[in-house]
Amino acid sequence: MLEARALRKAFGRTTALDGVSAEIGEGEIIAITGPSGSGKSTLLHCLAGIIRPEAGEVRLDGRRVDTLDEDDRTRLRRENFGIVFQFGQLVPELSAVENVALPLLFNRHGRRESLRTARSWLERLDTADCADHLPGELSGGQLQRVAVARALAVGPRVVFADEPTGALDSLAGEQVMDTLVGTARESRTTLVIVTHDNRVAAYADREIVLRDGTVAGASTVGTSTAGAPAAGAPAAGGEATT
Amino acid sequence: MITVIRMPVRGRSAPERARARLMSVGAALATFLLCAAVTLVSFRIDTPDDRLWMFTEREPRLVVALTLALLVVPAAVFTYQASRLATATRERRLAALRLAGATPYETRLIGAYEAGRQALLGGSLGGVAHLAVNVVLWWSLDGVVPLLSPVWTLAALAAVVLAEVWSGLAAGRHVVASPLGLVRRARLRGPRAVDLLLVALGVALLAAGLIGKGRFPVLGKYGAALSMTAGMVLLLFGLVLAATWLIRAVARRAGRVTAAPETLLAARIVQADPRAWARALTVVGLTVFFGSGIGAQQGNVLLRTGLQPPYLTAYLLIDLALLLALVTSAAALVVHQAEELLDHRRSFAALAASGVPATALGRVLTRQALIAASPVCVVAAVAGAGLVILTGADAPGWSPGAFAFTAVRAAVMAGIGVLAAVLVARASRRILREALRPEELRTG
Ligand SMILES: Nc1ncnc2c1ncn2[C@@H]1O[C@H](COP(=O)(O)OP(=O)(O)OP(=O)(O)O)[C@@H](O)[C@H]1O
Ligand SMILES: [Mg+2]
Repeated sequence: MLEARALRKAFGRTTALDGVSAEIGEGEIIAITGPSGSGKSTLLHCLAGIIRPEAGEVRLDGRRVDTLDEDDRTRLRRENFGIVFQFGQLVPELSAVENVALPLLFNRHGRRESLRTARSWLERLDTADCADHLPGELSGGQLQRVAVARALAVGPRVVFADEPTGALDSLAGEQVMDTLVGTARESRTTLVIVTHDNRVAAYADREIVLRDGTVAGASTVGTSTAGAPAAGAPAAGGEATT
Repeated sequence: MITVIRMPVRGRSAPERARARLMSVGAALATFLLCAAVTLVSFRIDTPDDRLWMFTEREPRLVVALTLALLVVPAAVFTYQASRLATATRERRLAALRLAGATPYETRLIGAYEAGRQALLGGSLGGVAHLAVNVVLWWSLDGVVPLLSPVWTLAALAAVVLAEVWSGLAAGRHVVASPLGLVRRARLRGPRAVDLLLVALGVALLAAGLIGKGRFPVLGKYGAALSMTAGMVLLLFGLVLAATWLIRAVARRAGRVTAAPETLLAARIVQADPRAWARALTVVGLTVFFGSGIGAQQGNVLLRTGLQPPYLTAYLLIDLALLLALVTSAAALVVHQAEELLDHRRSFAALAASGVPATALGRVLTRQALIAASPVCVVAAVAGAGLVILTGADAPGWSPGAFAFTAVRAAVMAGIGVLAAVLVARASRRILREALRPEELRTG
């Protein structure tokens, strides 16, 4: 469904991506891993249409994404994608439920309906009692679950997550991953997660390993060519997380 | 210690250099205006030359001097806002100094040192400019205007520098740089009840003066005038402070009912920090207040006496001064919006990444300006016009025409105030575009 071919992207003299190709199927859960600076975030940004690669192609359902102008890519992201970052994505002045309702409101849903939908998503992610708190009053794990709710609330086809648990301890990180992966599987949403945490990568069906801007290996979890053992991680695969 | 204090001045970033330069400009403006006002009060010349009415006629001279002195207020506010530019960078540096063992007081001295330095630089320029204008006038008018001694200029310069050093010291209070190198802004203070008390007291004194005209219990016939003046001053201060309440109430109301995400965002952001908006809008509000008040007075006088040249010139000059005040206050608003965008760049960039168009986020800026500026400008216009009508309604010549003129002028002033704020917000979209770059999303 989502396809990248021979992507190249350089920032000044650093080449962040140097001929990366990847193919992601409907409902798949993919982990992009690799050492720091290997181009993981850059690849995610290209796939999500946030930035344009200098060479190569990105296609969604066979339709070119990278050649669209900023307006069309913005519309494409709004209609198809949900995005979760490591931190700082919630508007500090809006309550949790308002933050989740925001993309719905931008999609021209009514106020009542948006807030109701937002509240039910917060309930699904076990954060109903955070609904009326400001982000500053929530813990890191709660914040990330609210962010996940916001990404999922619009019913996206693909959710992109860049180090969604990077700022959390392992227990809070596990909770966030459980809910993110669980809901993605339930709704057959495609999930692309950037991480350098093996335990997070273990949730994925498949892993794309980057090194110095190239694909160093692709694997199904547990047999990673990057030598990342999935030991100790929650069981990978579909039914383990609900 | 001096070396430590001076250290941060070297190796400043571009925004920090811009801040320093803007602070100097503000200080130069303030010094120049102060000098000019003092000059106009301090001497009077006798000449048949009509062009010099400003120096010969007593009343226009005082009006112009007062206007110039009042213009120092926007210049000061502008300087203060400029001093807040790029504070994030400075705060990080202060935190690093704390880490190296500097006491909180010493880190505050750094702010005071920078403020004093820029004030001295800019103030000297303003003073020299004032003296130069004096010399040119003296020379081109064959000595009718006397050469001034530089004493007043030096006094004005000293006043400006002292004021800025003090504000530099005070500004540091809000930043608590912990010895662990963390920077944390002290809790934002909400509106206080005292602000409303001032308004109430002002209204009470004003009413007492009005009702007791002629038979005021204390101070004989001056009592009423004194009470009214004091009431007016208190009311003015109170209104400036109460703007915080007003802005927050309007923002809360807007946020509670709207279905437009832009308005929701704008309202909540304004609601979270109404003091910052009130501060940034102070001069806009004062301009609208004076503009409407003077409009009421103009309406009365002009309709009674016809278009007399000296009045017309004085009024034109005042309007020009008001315009200048508005432009300076608009600059203060730009600084405020830039600061706010800097605070929101991460969450806004995340919204843009998930498909919220930049134009929609631009609308958030203009709606913030609308939400904050409309109530302030409307109240200021009504208060300004109302005050003049109330205090002078029994004076001769308040015709229906004068009332109509007053109402139109007040509405126009309010409109201009709101328009200025909205235009500034539109101009800030350029800064917004910078803030939305995907680079803001990079972790680390
Ligand atoms: N906006 C930018 N300007 C300059 N260089 C950049 C920019 N974005 C990325 N780079 C460079 O591109 C390379 C890849 O960056 P990227 O953020 O994709 O790495 P990453 O794998 O996500 O690393 P991390 O795990 O640390 O987040 C790095 O060398 C980085 O310095
Ligand atoms: Mg990264």
